[in-house]
Amino acid sequence: MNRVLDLDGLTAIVTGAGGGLGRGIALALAAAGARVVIAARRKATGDETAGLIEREGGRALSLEADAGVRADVERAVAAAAQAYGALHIVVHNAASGWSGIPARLSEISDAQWHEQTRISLDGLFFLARAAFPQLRACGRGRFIVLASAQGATGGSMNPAYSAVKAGQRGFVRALAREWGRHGITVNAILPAGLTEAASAHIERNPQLRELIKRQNPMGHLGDPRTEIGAAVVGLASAAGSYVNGQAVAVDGGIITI
Amino acid sequence: MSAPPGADALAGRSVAVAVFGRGIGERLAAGFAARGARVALLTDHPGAAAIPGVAVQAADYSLAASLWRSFESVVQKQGAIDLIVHAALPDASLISRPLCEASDGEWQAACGQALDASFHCLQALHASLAASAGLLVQIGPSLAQCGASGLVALSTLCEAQRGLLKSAARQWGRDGIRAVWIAVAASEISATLAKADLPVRSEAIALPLGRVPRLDDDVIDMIAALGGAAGRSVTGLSMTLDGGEWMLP
Repeated sequence: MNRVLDLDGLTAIVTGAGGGLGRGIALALAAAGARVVIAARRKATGDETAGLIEREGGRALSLEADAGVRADVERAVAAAAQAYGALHIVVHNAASGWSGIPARLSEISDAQWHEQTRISLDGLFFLARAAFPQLRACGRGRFIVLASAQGATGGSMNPAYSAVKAGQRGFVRALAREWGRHGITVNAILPAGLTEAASAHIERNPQLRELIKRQNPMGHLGDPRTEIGAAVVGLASAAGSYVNGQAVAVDGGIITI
Repeated sequence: MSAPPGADALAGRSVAVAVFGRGIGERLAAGFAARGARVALLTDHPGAAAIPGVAVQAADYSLAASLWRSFESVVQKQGAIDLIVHAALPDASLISRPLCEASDGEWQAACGQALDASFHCLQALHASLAASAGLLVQIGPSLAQCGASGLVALSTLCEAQRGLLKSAARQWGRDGIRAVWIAVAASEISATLAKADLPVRSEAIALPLGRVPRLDDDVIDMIAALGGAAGRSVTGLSMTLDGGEWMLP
Protein backbone atom coordinates (compact mmCIF):
# COMPACT_ATOMS: atom_id res chain seq x y z
CA MET A 1 0.00 0.00 0.00
CA ASN A 2 1.18 3.50 -0.86
CA ARG A 3 1.37 5.05 2.61
CA VAL A 4 0.72 8.58 1.39
CA LEU A 5 -2.62 7.50 -0.06
CA ASP A 6 -3.40 5.08 2.76
CA LEU A 7 -6.77 5.66 4.43
CA ASP A 8 -6.50 2.65 6.72
CA GLY A 9 -8.35 3.22 9.99
CA LEU A 10 -10.25 6.24 8.71
CA THR A 11 -14.00 6.54 8.30
CA ALA A 12 -15.70 8.18 5.36
CA ILE A 13 -19.30 8.97 4.51
CA VAL A 14 -20.41 9.38 0.90
CA THR A 15 -23.83 10.75 -0.02
CA GLY A 16 -25.46 9.59 -3.21
CA ALA A 17 -23.35 6.44 -3.10
CA GLY A 18 -26.02 4.10 -4.42
CA GLY A 19 -24.66 4.37 -7.96
CA GLY A 20 -22.74 6.46 -10.45
CA LEU A 21 -19.87 8.59 -9.24
CA GLY A 22 -20.83 8.08 -5.60
CA ARG A 23 -20.45 4.34 -5.91
CA GLY A 24 -17.10 4.71 -7.67
CA ILE A 25 -15.89 7.09 -4.97
CA ALA A 26 -17.04 4.76 -2.20
CA LEU A 27 -15.24 1.83 -3.82
CA ALA A 28 -12.05 3.88 -4.24
CA LEU A 29 -12.11 5.06 -0.63
CA ALA A 30 -12.68 1.52 0.61
CA ALA A 31 -9.89 0.16 -1.58
CA ALA A 32 -7.58 2.73 0.04
CA GLY A 33 -8.51 1.31 3.43
CA ALA A 34 -11.34 3.53 4.64
CA ARG A 35 -14.46 2.25 6.31
CA VAL A 36 -17.24 3.72 4.24
CA VAL A 37 -20.75 4.74 5.22
CA ILE A 38 -22.98 4.61 2.17
CA ALA A 39 -25.77 7.18 2.33
CA ALA A 40 -28.26 6.52 -0.45
CA ARG A 41 -31.82 7.62 -0.98
CA ARG A 42 -32.78 4.06 -1.89
CA LYS A 43 -31.60 1.44 0.58
CA ALA A 44 -31.35 -1.26 -2.07
CA THR A 45 -28.80 0.62 -4.15
CA GLY A 46 -26.80 1.53 -1.06
CA ASP A 47 -26.78 -2.13 -0.05
CA GLU A 48 -25.44 -3.02 -3.49
CA THR A 49 -22.52 -0.62 -3.09
CA ALA A 50 -21.81 -1.91 0.41
CA GLY A 51 -21.92 -5.47 -0.93
CA LEU A 52 -19.37 -4.64 -3.62
CA ILE A 53 -17.04 -3.18 -1.00
CA GLU A 54 -17.42 -6.15 1.31
CA ARG A 55 -16.76 -8.61 -1.51
CA GLU A 56 -13.40 -6.91 -1.97
CA GLY A 57 -12.65 -7.29 1.73
CA GLY A 58 -13.58 -3.75 2.74
CA ARG A 59 -15.89 -2.49 5.45
CA ALA A 60 -19.08 -0.60 4.67
CA LEU A 61 -22.35 0.42 6.28
CA SER A 62 -25.38 1.17 4.14
CA LEU A 63 -27.94 3.71 5.34
CA GLU A 64 -31.09 5.03 3.73
CA ALA A 65 -30.78 8.81 3.72
CA ASP A 66 -32.10 11.67 1.61
CA ALA A 67 -29.21 14.14 1.49
CA GLY A 68 -31.63 17.06 1.39
CA VAL A 69 -33.41 16.09 4.61
CA ARG A 70 -31.74 17.38 7.75
CA ALA A 71 -32.88 14.53 10.00
CA ASP A 72 -31.61 11.91 7.54
CA VAL A 73 -28.23 13.62 7.25
CA GLU A 74 -27.83 13.98 11.01
CA ARG A 75 -28.83 10.36 11.52
CA ALA A 76 -26.30 9.16 8.94
CA VAL A 77 -23.46 11.16 10.49
CA ALA A 78 -24.34 9.93 13.95
CA ALA A 79 -24.50 6.34 12.71
CA ALA A 80 -21.06 6.64 11.13
CA ALA A 81 -19.53 7.90 14.34
CA GLN A 82 -21.33 5.27 16.39
CA ALA A 83 -20.39 2.37 14.13
CA TYR A 84 -16.74 3.25 13.63
CA GLY A 85 -15.92 5.58 16.52
CA ALA A 86 -15.04 8.64 14.45
CA LEU A 87 -15.64 10.40 11.14
CA HIS A 88 -12.69 11.72 9.12
CA ILE A 89 -13.87 12.14 5.53
CA VAL A 90 -17.15 13.55 4.23
CA VAL A 91 -18.03 13.46 0.55
CA HIS A 92 -21.18 15.21 -0.68
CA ASN A 93 -22.01 13.72 -4.05
CA ALA A 94 -25.81 13.45 -3.99
CA ALA A 95 -27.68 15.45 -6.60
CA SER A 96 -31.23 15.78 -7.79
CA GLY A 97 -32.59 13.61 -10.56
CA TRP A 98 -33.36 16.86 -12.39
CA SER A 99 -29.66 17.67 -12.63
CA GLY A 100 -29.06 16.08 -16.01
CA ILE A 101 -32.30 17.05 -17.69
CA PRO A 102 -31.97 19.92 -20.18
CA ALA A 103 -34.29 22.84 -19.47
CA ARG A 104 -34.83 26.44 -20.50
CA LEU A 105 -34.70 28.79 -17.53
CA SER A 106 -38.25 29.95 -18.16
CA GLU A 107 -39.53 26.37 -18.11
CA ILE A 108 -38.10 25.32 -14.75
CA SER A 109 -40.84 25.00 -12.15
CA ASP A 110 -40.40 26.10 -8.58
CA ALA A 111 -40.62 22.44 -7.54
CA GLN A 112 -37.79 21.44 -9.89
CA TRP A 113 -35.69 24.39 -8.76
CA HIS A 114 -36.20 23.61 -5.10
CA GLU A 115 -35.42 19.92 -5.59
CA GLN A 116 -31.99 20.94 -6.85
CA THR A 117 -31.32 23.60 -4.22
CA ARG A 118 -32.58 21.29 -1.47
CA ILE A 119 -30.16 18.47 -2.19
CA SER A 120 -27.14 20.36 -3.53
CA LEU A 121 -27.14 23.44 -1.27
CA ASP A 122 -29.36 22.83 1.76
CA GLY A 123 -28.04 19.28 1.96
CA LEU A 124 -24.49 20.59 1.87
CA PHE A 125 -25.26 22.90 4.79
CA PHE A 126 -26.93 20.11 6.78
CA LEU A 127 -24.01 17.77 6.16
CA ALA A 128 -21.32 20.31 7.07
CA ARG A 129 -23.11 21.36 10.24
CA ALA A 130 -23.75 17.79 11.34
CA ALA A 131 -20.23 16.53 10.56
CA PHE A 132 -18.26 19.48 11.95
CA PRO A 133 -17.83 18.20 15.55
CA GLN A 134 -16.53 14.85 14.28
CA LEU A 135 -14.23 16.38 11.65
CA ARG A 136 -12.78 18.82 14.15
CA ALA A 137 -12.32 16.17 16.82
CA CYS A 138 -10.34 13.86 14.54
CA GLY A 139 -7.76 16.57 13.83
CA ARG A 140 -7.47 15.87 10.08
CA GLY A 141 -10.94 16.26 8.69
CA ARG A 142 -11.66 16.29 4.98
CA PHE A 143 -14.82 17.76 3.46
CA ILE A 144 -15.10 17.13 -0.27
CA VAL A 145 -17.89 18.28 -2.57
CA LEU A 146 -18.63 16.90 -6.03
CA ALA A 147 -19.42 20.12 -7.90
CA SER A 148 -19.32 20.56 -11.67
CA ALA A 149 -17.69 22.44 -14.51
CA GLN A 150 -21.25 23.52 -15.38
CA GLY A 151 -21.07 25.72 -12.30
CA ALA A 152 -17.71 27.18 -13.25
CA THR A 153 -18.54 28.06 -16.82
CA GLY A 154 -22.31 28.35 -16.70
CA GLY A 155 -23.57 25.41 -18.70
CA SER A 156 -26.45 26.02 -21.05
CA MET A 157 -28.04 22.64 -20.32
CA ASN A 158 -29.89 23.41 -17.10
CA PRO A 159 -29.60 26.79 -15.34
CA ALA A 160 -30.71 25.36 -12.00
CA TYR A 161 -27.90 22.82 -12.15
CA SER A 162 -25.35 25.50 -13.06
CA ALA A 163 -26.60 27.64 -10.18
CA VAL A 164 -26.37 25.01 -7.47
CA LYS A 165 -23.00 23.74 -8.68
CA ALA A 166 -21.60 27.28 -8.74
CA GLY A 167 -23.07 27.79 -5.28
CA GLN A 168 -21.19 24.73 -4.06
CA ARG A 169 -17.91 26.31 -5.20
CA GLY A 170 -18.72 29.43 -3.22
CA PHE A 171 -19.59 27.30 -0.20
CA VAL A 172 -16.27 25.45 -0.44
CA ARG A 173 -14.14 28.58 -0.78
CA ALA A 174 -15.70 30.29 2.23
CA LEU A 175 -15.88 27.21 4.44
CA ALA A 176 -12.23 26.38 3.69
CA ARG A 177 -11.27 29.74 5.18
CA GLU A 178 -13.51 29.12 8.19
CA TRP A 179 -12.49 25.54 8.94
CA GLY A 180 -8.78 25.62 8.11
CA ARG A 181 -7.97 26.70 11.65
CA HIS A 182 -9.66 23.51 12.90
CA GLY A 183 -7.44 21.28 10.77
CA ILE A 184 -10.22 20.56 8.30
CA THR A 185 -9.68 20.99 4.57
CA VAL A 186 -12.63 21.78 2.30
CA ASN A 187 -12.36 21.22 -1.44
CA ALA A 188 -14.46 20.59 -4.52
CA ILE A 189 -13.94 18.26 -7.42
CA LEU A 190 -15.36 19.14 -10.82
CA PRO A 191 -15.70 15.73 -12.44
CA ALA A 192 -16.45 14.54 -15.92
CA GLY A 193 -17.30 10.94 -15.17
CA LEU A 194 -18.72 8.09 -17.17
CA THR A 195 -21.60 7.05 -14.94
CA GLU A 196 -24.23 4.45 -15.79
CA ALA A 197 -26.58 7.31 -16.64
CA ALA A 198 -23.99 8.92 -18.92
CA SER A 199 -23.31 5.60 -20.60
CA ALA A 200 -27.01 5.07 -21.26
CA HIS A 201 -27.30 8.61 -22.63
CA ILE A 202 -24.38 8.00 -24.99
CA GLU A 203 -25.92 4.69 -26.09
CA ARG A 204 -29.08 6.56 -27.05
CA ASN A 205 -27.09 9.35 -28.73
CA PRO A 206 -24.07 7.68 -30.33
CA GLN A 207 -22.94 10.95 -31.92
CA LEU A 208 -21.90 12.00 -28.40
CA ARG A 209 -19.14 9.40 -28.44
CA GLU A 210 -17.33 11.28 -31.21
CA LEU A 211 -18.04 14.64 -29.57
CA ILE A 212 -16.46 13.48 -26.31
CA LYS A 213 -13.42 12.20 -28.17
CA ARG A 214 -13.05 15.55 -29.90
CA GLN A 215 -13.71 17.85 -26.95
CA ASN A 216 -11.95 15.99 -24.16
CA PRO A 217 -8.15 16.16 -24.47
CA MET A 218 -7.95 12.70 -22.91
CA GLY A 219 -10.58 11.42 -25.33
CA HIS A 220 -12.86 9.83 -22.77
CA LEU A 221 -14.97 10.49 -19.69
CA GLY A 222 -13.42 9.55 -16.37
CA ASP A 223 -13.94 6.21 -14.71
CA PRO A 224 -15.94 6.80 -11.51
CA ARG A 225 -13.62 4.65 -9.43
CA THR A 226 -10.15 4.68 -10.92
CA GLU A 227 -10.11 8.29 -12.12
CA ILE A 228 -12.74 10.33 -10.24
CA GLY A 229 -12.67 8.21 -7.08
CA ALA A 230 -8.88 8.19 -7.10
CA ALA A 231 -8.84 11.99 -7.04
CA VAL A 232 -11.13 11.94 -4.01
CA VAL A 233 -8.76 9.51 -2.32
CA GLY A 234 -5.91 11.90 -3.05
CA LEU A 235 -7.68 14.83 -1.40
CA ALA A 236 -8.77 12.63 1.51
CA SER A 237 -5.31 11.23 2.10
CA ALA A 238 -2.14 12.72 3.54
CA ALA A 239 -1.33 13.88 0.02
CA GLY A 240 -4.19 16.36 0.30
CA SER A 241 -3.34 17.73 3.72
CA TYR A 242 -2.36 21.21 2.45
CA VAL A 243 -4.88 21.52 -0.37
CA ASN A 244 -7.69 23.76 0.84
CA GLY A 245 -10.45 25.81 -0.74
CA GLN A 246 -9.79 24.49 -4.22
CA ALA A 247 -12.03 23.39 -7.05
CA VAL A 248 -10.07 20.65 -8.76
CA ALA A 249 -11.22 19.77 -12.27
CA VAL A 250 -10.92 16.00 -12.77
CA ASP A 251 -12.16 15.99 -16.30
CA GLY A 252 -9.35 15.05 -18.63
CA GLY A 253 -8.58 18.68 -19.35
CA ILE A 254 -11.94 20.03 -20.52
CA ILE A 255 -11.64 22.93 -18.10
CA THR A 256 -8.13 24.34 -18.12
CA ILE A 257 -8.67 27.51 -16.10
CA MET B 1 -11.87 65.59 -14.66
CA SER B 2 -14.01 65.43 -17.77
CA ALA B 3 -16.95 63.06 -17.93
CA PRO B 4 -16.00 59.53 -19.04
CA PRO B 5 -16.85 58.49 -22.60
CA GLY B 6 -20.45 57.34 -22.76
CA ALA B 7 -21.41 58.97 -19.47
CA ASP B 8 -24.42 60.49 -21.17
CA ALA B 9 -25.34 57.17 -22.76
CA LEU B 10 -28.06 56.65 -20.17
CA ALA B 11 -30.00 59.81 -20.93
CA GLY B 12 -33.52 58.83 -21.92
CA ARG B 13 -32.86 55.10 -21.55
CA SER B 14 -35.41 52.92 -19.79
CA VAL B 15 -33.89 51.25 -16.74
CA ALA B 16 -35.39 48.88 -14.18
CA VAL B 17 -33.53 48.36 -10.91
CA ALA B 18 -34.83 45.11 -9.42
CA VAL B 19 -33.42 44.62 -5.96
CA PHE B 20 -34.39 42.16 -3.23
CA GLY B 21 -33.04 43.58 0.02
CA ARG B 22 -32.47 47.08 1.30
CA GLY B 23 -29.95 49.75 0.50
CA ILE B 24 -28.24 49.33 -2.81
CA GLY B 25 -31.40 49.53 -4.93
CA GLU B 26 -32.05 53.10 -3.86
CA ARG B 27 -28.43 54.13 -4.55
CA LEU B 28 -28.39 52.51 -7.96
CA ALA B 29 -31.76 53.96 -8.96
CA ALA B 30 -30.73 57.44 -7.86
CA GLY B 31 -27.49 57.13 -9.82
CA PHE B 32 -29.30 56.17 -13.02
CA ALA B 33 -31.84 58.95 -12.56
CA ALA B 34 -29.04 61.47 -12.08
CA ARG B 35 -27.75 60.51 -15.52
CA GLY B 36 -31.10 61.19 -17.13
CA ALA B 37 -32.45 57.66 -17.40
CA ARG B 38 -36.11 56.81 -16.91
CA VAL B 39 -35.91 54.62 -13.83
CA ALA B 40 -38.18 52.20 -12.02
CA LEU B 41 -37.14 50.61 -8.74
CA LEU B 42 -38.79 47.24 -8.08
CA THR B 43 -38.22 46.64 -4.40
CA ASP B 44 -39.46 44.41 -1.63
CA HIS B 45 -38.91 47.38 0.74
CA PRO B 46 -41.06 50.10 -0.87
CA GLY B 47 -41.36 52.17 2.29
CA ALA B 48 -38.18 54.11 1.66
CA ALA B 49 -38.20 57.85 1.09
CA ALA B 50 -39.05 59.06 -2.41
CA ILE B 51 -36.12 59.25 -4.82
CA PRO B 52 -36.21 62.11 -7.32
CA GLY B 53 -36.80 60.83 -10.84
CA VAL B 54 -37.44 57.24 -9.74
CA ALA B 55 -40.76 55.39 -9.87
CA VAL B 56 -40.73 53.08 -6.86
CA GLN B 57 -42.86 49.93 -7.14
CA ALA B 58 -43.46 47.26 -4.53
CA ALA B 59 -42.41 43.89 -5.92
CA ASP B 60 -43.00 40.34 -4.74
CA TYR B 61 -39.86 38.28 -5.36
CA SER B 62 -41.44 35.06 -4.12
CA LEU B 63 -43.33 34.54 -7.39
CA ALA B 64 -42.01 34.82 -10.95
CA ALA B 65 -45.51 35.58 -12.22
CA SER B 66 -45.84 38.52 -9.87
CA LEU B 67 -42.47 39.92 -10.93
CA TRP B 68 -43.40 39.44 -14.60
CA ARG B 69 -46.40 41.71 -14.00
CA SER B 70 -44.10 44.24 -12.34
CA PHE B 71 -41.82 44.34 -15.38
CA GLU B 72 -44.86 44.62 -17.66
CA SER B 73 -46.03 47.56 -15.60
CA VAL B 74 -42.64 49.25 -16.07
CA VAL B 75 -42.86 48.72 -19.83
CA GLN B 76 -46.32 50.29 -19.91
CA LYS B 77 -45.19 53.32 -17.92
CA GLN B 78 -41.76 54.09 -19.34
CA GLY B 79 -41.50 52.04 -22.55
CA ALA B 80 -39.40 49.03 -23.48
CA ILE B 81 -36.72 48.30 -20.90
CA ASP B 82 -33.16 48.73 -22.19
CA LEU B 83 -31.40 47.72 -19.03
CA ILE B 84 -32.23 45.76 -15.90
CA VAL B 85 -29.94 45.86 -12.88
CA HIS B 86 -30.60 43.13 -10.34
CA ALA B 87 -29.28 42.24 -6.91
CA ALA B 88 -30.64 39.96 -4.19
CA LEU B 89 -28.65 40.60 -1.04
CA PRO B 90 -30.94 40.76 1.99
CA ASP B 91 -29.64 41.84 5.37
CA ALA B 92 -29.61 38.21 6.54
CA SER B 93 -26.99 37.25 3.95
CA LEU B 94 -24.65 40.01 5.14
CA ILE B 95 -24.41 38.76 8.73
CA SER B 96 -21.12 37.09 9.61
CA ARG B 97 -21.45 33.96 11.74
CA PRO B 98 -19.81 30.50 11.87
CA LEU B 99 -21.71 28.17 9.57
CA CYS B 100 -22.35 25.63 12.31
CA GLU B 101 -24.07 28.24 14.46
CA ALA B 102 -26.65 28.98 11.76
CA SER B 103 -30.15 27.60 12.21
CA ASP B 104 -32.12 26.19 9.30
CA GLY B 105 -34.13 29.41 9.21
CA GLU B 106 -31.03 31.60 9.22
CA TRP B 107 -29.52 29.58 6.38
CA GLN B 108 -32.69 29.96 4.33
CA ALA B 109 -32.92 33.68 5.05
CA ALA B 110 -29.27 34.22 4.15
CA CYS B 111 -29.08 32.03 1.08
CA GLY B 112 -32.19 30.17 -0.03
CA GLN B 113 -34.71 33.00 -0.11
CA ALA B 114 -32.40 35.38 -1.95
CA LEU B 115 -31.45 32.71 -4.47
CA ASP B 116 -35.14 32.04 -5.05
CA ALA B 117 -35.61 35.78 -5.58
CA SER B 118 -32.93 35.84 -8.28
CA PHE B 119 -34.37 32.73 -9.94
CA HIS B 120 -37.81 34.33 -10.09
CA CYS B 121 -36.42 37.67 -11.22
CA LEU B 122 -34.46 36.16 -14.11
CA GLN B 123 -37.45 34.07 -15.17
CA ALA B 124 -39.70 37.13 -15.08
CA LEU B 125 -37.46 39.60 -16.88
CA HIS B 126 -36.72 37.49 -19.96
CA ALA B 127 -39.72 38.65 -21.97
CA SER B 128 -39.11 42.33 -21.27
CA LEU B 129 -35.42 42.20 -22.15
CA ALA B 130 -35.94 40.00 -25.21
CA ALA B 131 -38.33 42.60 -26.62
CA SER B 132 -35.59 45.22 -26.56
CA ALA B 133 -32.50 42.99 -26.92
CA GLY B 134 -31.45 44.54 -23.64
CA LEU B 135 -28.77 44.10 -21.02
CA LEU B 136 -29.03 42.44 -17.61
CA VAL B 137 -26.45 43.36 -14.97
CA GLN B 138 -26.33 41.60 -11.62
CA ILE B 139 -24.42 43.00 -8.67
CA GLY B 140 -22.64 41.16 -5.85
CA PRO B 141 -19.72 41.74 -3.47
CA SER B 142 -16.27 40.82 -4.78
CA LEU B 143 -15.30 39.04 -1.56
CA ALA B 144 -17.96 36.40 -2.25
CA GLN B 145 -15.82 35.11 -5.09
CA CYS B 146 -12.83 34.40 -2.85
CA GLY B 147 -14.87 33.42 0.20
CA ALA B 148 -14.64 34.66 3.75
CA SER B 149 -14.85 32.99 7.11
CA GLY B 150 -18.27 33.59 8.63
CA LEU B 151 -19.83 34.35 5.26
CA VAL B 152 -20.37 30.89 3.82
CA ALA B 153 -24.02 31.56 3.07
CA LEU B 154 -23.14 34.79 1.24
CA SER B 155 -20.50 33.11 -0.92
CA THR B 156 -22.87 30.25 -1.66
CA LEU B 157 -25.63 32.67 -2.59
CA CYS B 158 -23.55 34.96 -4.78
CA GLU B 159 -21.73 32.20 -6.61
CA ALA B 160 -25.03 30.42 -7.24
CA GLN B 161 -26.47 33.68 -8.57
CA ARG B 162 -23.43 34.11 -10.79
CA GLY B 163 -23.72 30.54 -12.10
CA LEU B 164 -27.40 31.12 -12.84
CA LEU B 165 -26.60 34.36 -14.66
CA LYS B 166 -23.91 32.73 -16.80
CA SER B 167 -26.21 29.88 -17.73
CA ALA B 168 -28.94 32.38 -18.61
CA ALA B 169 -26.44 34.32 -20.74
CA ARG B 170 -25.75 31.15 -22.73
CA GLN B 171 -29.44 30.44 -23.25
CA TRP B 172 -30.46 34.03 -24.00
CA GLY B 173 -27.72 35.06 -26.40
CA ARG B 174 -29.86 33.99 -29.36
CA ASP B 175 -32.63 36.26 -28.04
CA GLY B 176 -30.28 39.22 -28.15
CA ILE B 177 -30.08 39.49 -24.38
CA ARG B 178 -26.69 40.03 -22.78
CA ALA B 179 -25.97 39.36 -19.10
CA VAL B 180 -23.01 40.54 -17.03
CA TRP B 181 -22.00 40.07 -13.40
CA ILE B 182 -20.35 43.01 -11.66
CA ALA B 183 -18.60 42.39 -8.36
CA VAL B 184 -18.17 45.52 -6.26
CA ALA B 185 -16.29 46.29 -3.06
CA ALA B 186 -17.92 44.89 0.07
CA SER B 187 -18.18 48.33 1.64
CA GLU B 188 -20.37 49.46 -1.25
CA ILE B 189 -22.82 46.66 -0.50
CA SER B 190 -23.01 47.07 3.24
CA ALA B 191 -21.15 48.67 6.11
CA THR B 192 -21.72 45.39 7.92
CA LEU B 193 -19.70 43.49 5.33
CA ALA B 194 -16.83 45.94 5.55
CA LYS B 195 -16.47 44.99 9.23
CA ALA B 196 -16.63 41.22 8.66
CA ASP B 197 -13.82 38.78 9.40
CA LEU B 198 -12.37 39.05 5.91
CA PRO B 199 -9.47 36.84 4.80
CA VAL B 200 -7.42 39.98 4.21
CA ARG B 201 -8.89 43.11 5.68
CA SER B 202 -9.22 45.79 3.08
CA GLU B 203 -7.30 48.37 5.10
CA ALA B 204 -4.36 45.98 5.40
CA ILE B 205 -3.58 46.18 1.71
CA ALA B 206 -3.03 49.22 -0.41
CA LEU B 207 -5.92 49.70 -2.80
CA PRO B 208 -4.10 50.05 -6.14
CA LEU B 209 -6.45 52.74 -7.39
CA GLY B 210 -6.47 54.47 -4.04
CA ARG B 211 -10.23 54.56 -3.56
CA VAL B 212 -13.22 52.25 -3.57
CA PRO B 213 -15.29 52.58 -6.76
CA ARG B 214 -18.74 53.90 -5.93
CA LEU B 215 -21.88 51.96 -6.66
CA ASP B 216 -23.86 55.05 -7.68
CA ASP B 217 -21.09 56.51 -9.83
CA ASP B 218 -18.22 54.31 -11.11
CA VAL B 219 -20.37 51.20 -11.35
CA ILE B 220 -23.06 53.07 -13.25
CA ASP B 221 -20.47 54.42 -15.67
CA MET B 222 -19.35 50.86 -16.36
CA ILE B 223 -22.93 49.72 -16.86
CA ALA B 224 -23.46 52.62 -19.27
CA ALA B 225 -20.44 51.48 -21.25
CA LEU B 226 -21.65 47.87 -21.30
CA GLY B 227 -25.04 49.04 -22.47
CA GLY B 228 -23.49 50.95 -25.37
CA ALA B 229 -21.66 49.91 -28.50
CA ALA B 230 -18.53 49.01 -26.54
CA GLY B 231 -20.40 46.23 -24.79
CA ARG B 232 -22.25 44.73 -27.70
CA SER B 233 -20.13 41.57 -27.85
CA VAL B 234 -19.93 41.06 -24.10
CA THR B 235 -22.06 38.47 -22.32
CA GLY B 236 -21.56 36.00 -19.50
CA LEU B 237 -18.70 38.14 -18.25
CA SER B 238 -17.81 38.53 -14.57
CA MET B 239 -16.01 41.78 -13.88
CA THR B 240 -14.71 43.15 -10.62
CA LEU B 241 -14.95 46.87 -9.85
CA ASP B 242 -13.26 47.11 -6.48
CA GLY B 243 -10.28 49.31 -7.26
CA GLY B 244 -8.01 46.27 -7.55
CA GLU B 245 -8.64 45.02 -4.01
CA TRP B 246 -8.74 41.31 -4.83
CA MET B 247 -7.40 40.81 -8.37
CA LEU B 248 -8.90 37.34 -8.42
CA PRO B 249 -7.41 34.81 -10.86
